[in-house]
Amino acid sequence: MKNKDPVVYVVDDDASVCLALERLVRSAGYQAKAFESAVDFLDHGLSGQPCCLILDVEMPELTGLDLQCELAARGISIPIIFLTGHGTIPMSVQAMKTGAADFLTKPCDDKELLEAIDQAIEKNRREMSEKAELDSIQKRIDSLTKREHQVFRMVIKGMLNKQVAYELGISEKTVKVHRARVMEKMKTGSLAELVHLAERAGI
Amino acid sequence: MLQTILEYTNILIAYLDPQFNFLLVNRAYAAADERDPSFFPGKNHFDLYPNKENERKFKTVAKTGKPYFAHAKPFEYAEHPERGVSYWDWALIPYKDSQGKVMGLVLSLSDVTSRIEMEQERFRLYRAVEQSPVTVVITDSEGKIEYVNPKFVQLTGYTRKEAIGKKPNVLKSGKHPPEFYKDLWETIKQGKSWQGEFCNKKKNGNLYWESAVISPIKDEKGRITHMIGIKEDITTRRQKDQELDRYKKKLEALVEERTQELKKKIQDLEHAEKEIREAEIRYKTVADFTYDWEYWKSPDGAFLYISPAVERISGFKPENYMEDPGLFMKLIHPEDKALWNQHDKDMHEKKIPGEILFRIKNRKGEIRWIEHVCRPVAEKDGTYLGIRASNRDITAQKHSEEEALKQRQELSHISRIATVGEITAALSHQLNQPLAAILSNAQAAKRFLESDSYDIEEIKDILSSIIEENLRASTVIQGLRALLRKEDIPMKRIRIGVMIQEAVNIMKTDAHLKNIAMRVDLDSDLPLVLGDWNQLQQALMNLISNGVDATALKDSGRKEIVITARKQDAMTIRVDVEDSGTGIDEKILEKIFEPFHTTKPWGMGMGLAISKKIVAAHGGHIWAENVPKGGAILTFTLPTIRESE
Repeated sequence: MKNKDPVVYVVDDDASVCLALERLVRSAGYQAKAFESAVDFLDHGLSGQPCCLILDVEMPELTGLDLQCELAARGISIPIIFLTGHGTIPMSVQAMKTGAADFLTKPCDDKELLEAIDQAIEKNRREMSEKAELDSIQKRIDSLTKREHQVFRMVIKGMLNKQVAYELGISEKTVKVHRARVMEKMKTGSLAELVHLAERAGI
Repeated sequence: MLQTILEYTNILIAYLDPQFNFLLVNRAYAAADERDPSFFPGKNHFDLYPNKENERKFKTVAKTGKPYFAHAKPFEYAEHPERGVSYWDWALIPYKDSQGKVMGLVLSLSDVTSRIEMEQERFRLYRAVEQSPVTVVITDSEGKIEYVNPKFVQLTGYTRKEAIGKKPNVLKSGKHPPEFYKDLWETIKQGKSWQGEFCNKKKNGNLYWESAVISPIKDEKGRITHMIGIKEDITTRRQKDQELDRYKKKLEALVEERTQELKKKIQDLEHAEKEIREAEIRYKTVADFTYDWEYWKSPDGAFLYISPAVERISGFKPENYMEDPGLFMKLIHPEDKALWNQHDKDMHEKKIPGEILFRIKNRKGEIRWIEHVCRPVAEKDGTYLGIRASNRDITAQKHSEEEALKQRQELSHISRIATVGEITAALSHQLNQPLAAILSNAQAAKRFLESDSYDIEEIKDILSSIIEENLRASTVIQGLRALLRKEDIPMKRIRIGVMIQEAVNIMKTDAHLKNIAMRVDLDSDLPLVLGDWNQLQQALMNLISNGVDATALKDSGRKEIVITARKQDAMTIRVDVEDSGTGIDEKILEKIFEPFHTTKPWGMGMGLAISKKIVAAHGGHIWAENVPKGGAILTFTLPTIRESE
């Protein structure tokens, strides 16, 4: 197996197709989890590994597009590769607009599908690590005291210690102490890095 | 004699020389200072009682020879203030010789302290009466006013002068009967105090109320000398009391009124209740005999009433439903349960009339169609009382409807117009699934085999799946064949012109809706062809449908479909379907009759393929060409038969 971590979910109401796709995914070295209905998949949930979803569009009850909406509504972020027996332009446009990773017609070539899977997993991995990084920055920002947070905000705006001291009505010496604590807590060595972190956190 | 008198009088007497040395004092004088009279002679007055002011006065008398008198002069022992203040009448009289020269002074002092204190006491009493907030009137024994205090003047408006000498009856208001005054006088005459309330009249005529105590004043012998009246103005208090009294009476009246109203209401209610009981019996009789199954459900879902007709429809008696509230739900057809639940929820939330159609399985297990009409029941004040519903068994009606529907479906089946698209779509999907499964399985197997290690059992499984899917696809194909009945086309003689005309008639509506005209151009003496009417018509309609779609894509210009049928040669008939669309891309001109080839977003790529199959099965050819002026011509040929055949 190439990588133990990523999981490819397969949802198709046709049991044979579902099984065949699951086999194809496994043959490419991915872990695969197959479901014969959108509801079964929703009940199962995600395990937190990098993943993507191969989703049949035409399904009774909850269709592939319905599932896409439902996942969005639940705030579940997973790249989706749609499969359809007869893909129409409006349908694919809608799916892609609402964030589908790819839209393939059945029967589809393995190369095409596996390439789409690779890209989707890579995309998901990127998103996850980005989210983890953002979470870590946010955690560090949250660890700042109120005063340190004020100093942090002013410093990243480019204010000098003297200006910060004046603005906050404290001594320059105290500002230096706060500033040192901010750098320590944010785990940064330079102002440039600090500004970069703030930008990453959307401040 | 005089000596004796002086000696025993209460008046303090001292005889002093012009330098105020004592010459002689009497017993009383010495006693006042608690000394013996022999103590004083030879001593100076002001050595004993130093007092600058007195000394000045003494000197003035000695010098001028005029006597000095003082009335009630206060005296306090300088060294003994605890002995209190005493009041003295003074007389300091000079004793002169014949030449008028002052030879000495006679000082006589008489103690008037008790008198002064009495006067002060009287003054205090007087002031108290004068400043009293209550009216004080003093009359003589005859009732003539001798004294009134300022409060009397202020209250009655009579001045003191006007009042004195008159009798208090000037204040009479006339509100009290003579007995009232008689009682008053008799009480006083008996030497007792009278107490009561008067209504009196002021000088200006206004009436006022006062609470009075009138007492006789008696002398030592018990004779009545005066009468004193002490009176308090209680007008305000009485007004308040009267007001309170009025309110109390008003309140009592209201309570009485309300009590009467309630009594009336209770009577009305009792009456209404009786009417309701009677009405209930009437209505229940009506409800019990209805043909439909009526019921009333309380807001908490319990049945309040179920009409006996329920047994005819469901097989269960009303009491069965009362005993088992879940029974109704159990009877509802599984497929209609969701529908019912939604309806029930809507009714409870929106509280508006509603109606649905659902099925129940009755006691015998038969399906019954129920037309359910219900409305919320509310009291006049809006209180929600639940749901009143009527369930009608429309099973018989439903059966005839279903029968009619079936017939209509068959009719439309016969017309085929709708099914052409439906069949192709279904077939495409049905073929697509096994094909997709086969492809993925095969590709998976290939990949497994290419990897370093693989599970041979899994490869076997995959191959089994491929075989299964292949069979599944074959079944679909066989179904398609059966539909086309290629193997055993019941060949019949067909008048192609009539077949074309009929197909055009079927398609005309669709084309018309898309603003496309349709024209038919037929040779008058077309030969007969041998074949299946329905299949050939389907092949033609697929071509027309394709032309309509292609033309519909065009925004403007000529929009027309022309169908022509001609004898191409002695053995062949040729049918052209010419559209005025955008034409066909030269690159795909060859491919358009291949299955699953489509340029339309909604297309399945089946229509033209089926047409090709049908034409081929009839021994003909099919092809497509573009026309220089725009649009395309789809043509098929069919072999003809001679009239003689």
